[in-house]
Amino acid sequence: MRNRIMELIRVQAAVDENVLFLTGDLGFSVVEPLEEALGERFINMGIAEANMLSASASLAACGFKPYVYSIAPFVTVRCLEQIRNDVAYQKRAVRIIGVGAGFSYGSLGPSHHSLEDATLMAALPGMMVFNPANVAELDRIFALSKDDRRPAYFRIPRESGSMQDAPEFGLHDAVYRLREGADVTLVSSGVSLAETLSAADRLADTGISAGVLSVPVIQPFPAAAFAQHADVAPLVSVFEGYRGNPLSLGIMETLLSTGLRNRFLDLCAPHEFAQVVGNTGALRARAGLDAESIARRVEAFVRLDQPARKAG
Amino acid sequence: MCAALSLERSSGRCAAARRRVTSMSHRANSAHLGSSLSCIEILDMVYSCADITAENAAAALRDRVVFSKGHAAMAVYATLEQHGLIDPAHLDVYLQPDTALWGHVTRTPHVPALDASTGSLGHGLSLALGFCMAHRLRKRPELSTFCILSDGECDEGSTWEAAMFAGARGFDSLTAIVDYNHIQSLAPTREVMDLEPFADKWRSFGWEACEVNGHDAAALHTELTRSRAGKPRVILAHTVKGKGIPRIENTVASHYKPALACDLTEA
Repeated sequence: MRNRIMELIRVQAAVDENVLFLTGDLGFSVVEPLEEALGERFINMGIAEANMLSASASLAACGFKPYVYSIAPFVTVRCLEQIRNDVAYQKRAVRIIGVGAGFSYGSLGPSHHSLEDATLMAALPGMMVFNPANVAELDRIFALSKDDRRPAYFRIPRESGSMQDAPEFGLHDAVYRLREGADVTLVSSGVSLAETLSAADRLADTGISAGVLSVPVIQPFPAAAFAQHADVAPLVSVFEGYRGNPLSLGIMETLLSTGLRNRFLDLCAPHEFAQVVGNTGALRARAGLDAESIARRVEAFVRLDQPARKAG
Repeated sequence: MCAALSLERSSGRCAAARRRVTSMSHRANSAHLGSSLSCIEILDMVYSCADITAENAAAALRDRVVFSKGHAAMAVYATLEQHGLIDPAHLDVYLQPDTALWGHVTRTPHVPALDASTGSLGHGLSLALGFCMAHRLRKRPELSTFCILSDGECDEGSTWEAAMFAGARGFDSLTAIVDYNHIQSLAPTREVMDLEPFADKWRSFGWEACEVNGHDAAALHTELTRSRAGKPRVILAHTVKGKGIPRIENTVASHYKPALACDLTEA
C-alpha cells in the first residue's frame, strides 16, 4: 500500500505541478522513486512533524497540493494541534498520509501502533478520513480526492491488503457489499477487511451466512448509503482501533437516527496499550480482531438470536 | 518592496492604532491590551514594508505576514485599519455577538489581507516558512514573508523546528520579528525560562540576528529593509508591554486586564 500511494502521487505529480510530497524523514526503500521524479517538489522536512504540518498548510494556501507523509502516530497525534488549527480550522487542502494503520507496526511497539488516529482525525471538523483496505480502494479514493480542496487523512496499512475489486463508489457514499449473507452483516474498513472476509468464510463453515460490507471513507460517514445496505440482519462493526472509532460511531448513529433496530456488535481493539511483545498477527489475535477471533465473537453474537440453531 | 519611510506618518498611524486598541479593549472588555500595545510600531513597519494592498490582498502569490502572537489581535486589526486593509466597521463591533473577528487573529474572507488564523503559540514561524517554501517553488524569490512572534512563544519547540529548517535551507526571504517585551503570561521571561543569549540562539540556527528598540520606527525600518544575505533574519525588538498607558506598562496584569475609561485619554 505504501508503494502504491507513492506511485499514485508520482503519476499525479507528472501531470499536476502543484503536487508536493513532504516527509518527516521517513519512507526508506519506499520514497526513493518519488524523490527522483519530483525533484525539488520532494521535501524532507526532517524529524519535525509540527513544523511540517504548519508549513504544509501555507503551501496549500498558495495553491499547492501537499501530501505529507510519516508513520501514522507521528503525523497525527504528534502534531494534532497543527492539524487542528492550521489545516482543518483554516480549511487547507493538505493530504496527510499516515502509514501503519492499527497494529501494522507489530513488534515495534505501542509508540508505533495507531489505534486512535482515525478517531482523532475524524473529530476535526471538515477533515475527510480515508481508510482503504486494498489497492483498488486506494486507487479509487486517490482519484476522487486529488482535486478536492478539503483536508484529508489517508490511513494506510503497511501490508498490501487483499486484492479485491472495488466498485465505483464516491467520497460521500463509500460503502459497498463484498459478500452476501442472511444471518449477519460484517461491516469493515481498512486493515480489518481481509480478516473480516476470512472470518466470513469461517462462519460459513459453522452454518452462519455472513455478509460483508466495506466502508473505505469513514469521515464523512456515508450514512445514507449505509442505511440502504443495512437490512434486518444483525450488524457487526470490525475496526482496528479503539472504541468510539468513526466506523462504529457512524453505524450506531445511522441506526439510531433512521430508526433501524438491528442488533449491533462493536468489534474493536481493547482500550489499552499492548503490554507484551507480539507481531501484527499476534496483536490482532490478542485484540480479538484476527479472523478466528472475529468469527468466534460473531458466532456467539448471532447464536444469541438463534437459540434453535444453537441447540441443533 | 518597502515604501519610503515617513516617520511622521508612521507616528501618526501608531498613535491612532494605540487609541483604537485601547478603545476596543475598553468597549469589548478584552484582555491582551498590554501585548497589543507593545507591537504597534512593529506591525506598522511590517505592513509598511510588505507589499500587501487592498488590490492584491486576495492573490495567492504576494508578500505574506504571519502574526504568530495571535492574542494581540487588536493590534493587528487596528494596524490593518491604518493601512486600509480592513473595513473599520469590523473594529467598531469587535467581539460583539455574531461578528467575524475573534479575540485571536482570525483569517476570514472579510479580511483577505490576513494570512493565517493564530492563537495557539508556536505555529506562526512554521506557517511563515510554508509561504517562503511556496515562493521558492513558484520561482518568486523577490516575495518576502514576515512573521511576528512573542518572546514567550519562543518557549515552544515548534518555533525552533521552523527556525532550524529555515536556517538550514537558507530562506533569506523570511524575516522574523520578536516582540521582546520581556513579560510572558505569568511572569518575566527571564524568570520563566530565560531566553538569553537570545540572538546567539538564532545565530546558531543559521540566522542573522539584530536587536533594536521595538518602538523606534526608523530602527525597525532600517533592519526590515536590509538586503538579503542568504540567511533568514530575526529582529529582536525590545519593547514595553502596555506601551502608551503608563499605569499598565511593564506589568503582567496588562496581559489580562482590559482598558479602563481613564486610559482612553492616555493612549
